[in-house]
Amino acid sequence: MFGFVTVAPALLSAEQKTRYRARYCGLCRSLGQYCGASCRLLLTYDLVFLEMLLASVYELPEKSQSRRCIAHPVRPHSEIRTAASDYAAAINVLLFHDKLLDDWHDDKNPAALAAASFYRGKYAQLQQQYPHQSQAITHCLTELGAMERDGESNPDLPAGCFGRLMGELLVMHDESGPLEEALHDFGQWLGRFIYLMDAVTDLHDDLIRERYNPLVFLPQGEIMDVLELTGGEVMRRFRELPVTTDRDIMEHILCAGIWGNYHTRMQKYAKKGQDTVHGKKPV
Amino acid sequence: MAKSPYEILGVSPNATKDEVTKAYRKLAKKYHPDLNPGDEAAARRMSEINAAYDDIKNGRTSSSYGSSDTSPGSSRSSYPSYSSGWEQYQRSRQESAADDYATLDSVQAYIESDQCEAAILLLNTMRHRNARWYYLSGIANYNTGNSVTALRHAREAVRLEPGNAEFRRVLNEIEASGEMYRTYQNENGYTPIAVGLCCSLACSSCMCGACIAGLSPICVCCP
Repeated sequence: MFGFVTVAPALLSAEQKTRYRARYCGLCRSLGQYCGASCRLLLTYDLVFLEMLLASVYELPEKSQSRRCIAHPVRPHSEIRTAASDYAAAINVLLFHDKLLDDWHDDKNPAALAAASFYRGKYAQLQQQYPHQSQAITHCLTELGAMERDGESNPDLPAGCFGRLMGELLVMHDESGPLEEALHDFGQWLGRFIYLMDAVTDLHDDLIRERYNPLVFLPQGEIMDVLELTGGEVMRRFRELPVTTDRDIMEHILCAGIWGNYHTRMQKYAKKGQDTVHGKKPV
Repeated sequence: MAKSPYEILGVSPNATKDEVTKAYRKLAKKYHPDLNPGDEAAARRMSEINAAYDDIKNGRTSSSYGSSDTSPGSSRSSYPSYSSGWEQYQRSRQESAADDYATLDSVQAYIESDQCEAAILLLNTMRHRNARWYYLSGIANYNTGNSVTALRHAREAVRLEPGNAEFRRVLNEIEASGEMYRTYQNENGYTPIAVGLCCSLACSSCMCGACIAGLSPICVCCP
């Protein structure tokens, strides 16, 4: 479910890549400073998008600087940070802690439990700081886990559940106004889109491993129609947001980059000679 | 006599939920079109299996068929099971159709007053599903963000009554989002190959902390 909301590097200009990368580095820096160096390992692309979007709609001032870091000790690189970087960093840790616990419950993966307990201290602190968001995460992931264990046959239900989670995460400030409502609405659709995208990417593997996948219940030819329909709803709501900066990069992410995992996986199957087509019409 | 859902899944009627799910996943592995590209027979078998699983999950098996035990709170029951549609139709014919018309009018009233969730709850209590039922369900589900059900039901309404211009208009409206999305994709230079290119070929910039530690969930590579 994580790592989908990212860019397709091959389709970005050099300038766009530099800017995206600077935000990525800025978020990494925030994670380190705000949550502890170990939290940097949790960094995901999805949260870069969150930071970019919030900074853009709230017109947050950018602090940019060039420096070296532990991952790039030789070559200095630029970093862009905003007030949203700290928020995205906190959400990143909250999300991952619960995701790790979930993996432990589902797969009894001891590494996940170990990692979750490693981050427990920081998690407890952030939980107090963002009670609203952390409750939403815990609640929705629990509900989602129950639906998946139960073998829910209507894909709208788990997708809607993940949508609710994403909707809550896009509301950075507790006060609510028209902008927060629009962000919440956009987040709900984005969450549904990510959930379905994750499902279609894993469909082949889930079938073979006899695991839950909501799209098993859907006739093959409808899968892409549903994804494109949901993507269209995401874009419609994105266009309604008062985005001031980086519109091009964010639209690129929502229209192209978000398909990256899916097509990387499909190309992997093609290489292996495994024939799998989810009714995707040739583009 | 048609096979019962349990026979289709090859489990006993007393099977536990887990046994049913297990049997279903085994059969899905065998017949799902994704693993059997181009095999029409497998695709037909899969839709039969899906319908059987859905029937069992929602308590629509032969013994309880037609009894109103589908919980109104579950929008699961709004999911169509096409194979059992005829049987459902036969049974519901014996019930009063007049009531259903009245109920569909209330559903429409809910939709018009922007209470789509209430409309869905009401729709799910109805056993007789005609074209108008699917049409209204399509609208209500679309407005509540249930894109999967919305598209299926709007299409089903048009399939049942191809000549109805209003049904067609709503389906077009729902499908327009997908078309709009494809346009945006083209504007952004989207092609499956470019998007799926992993820069592992020349991944010099991919040196983020997560990647170094091998903990990045999926390295789609740093731009």
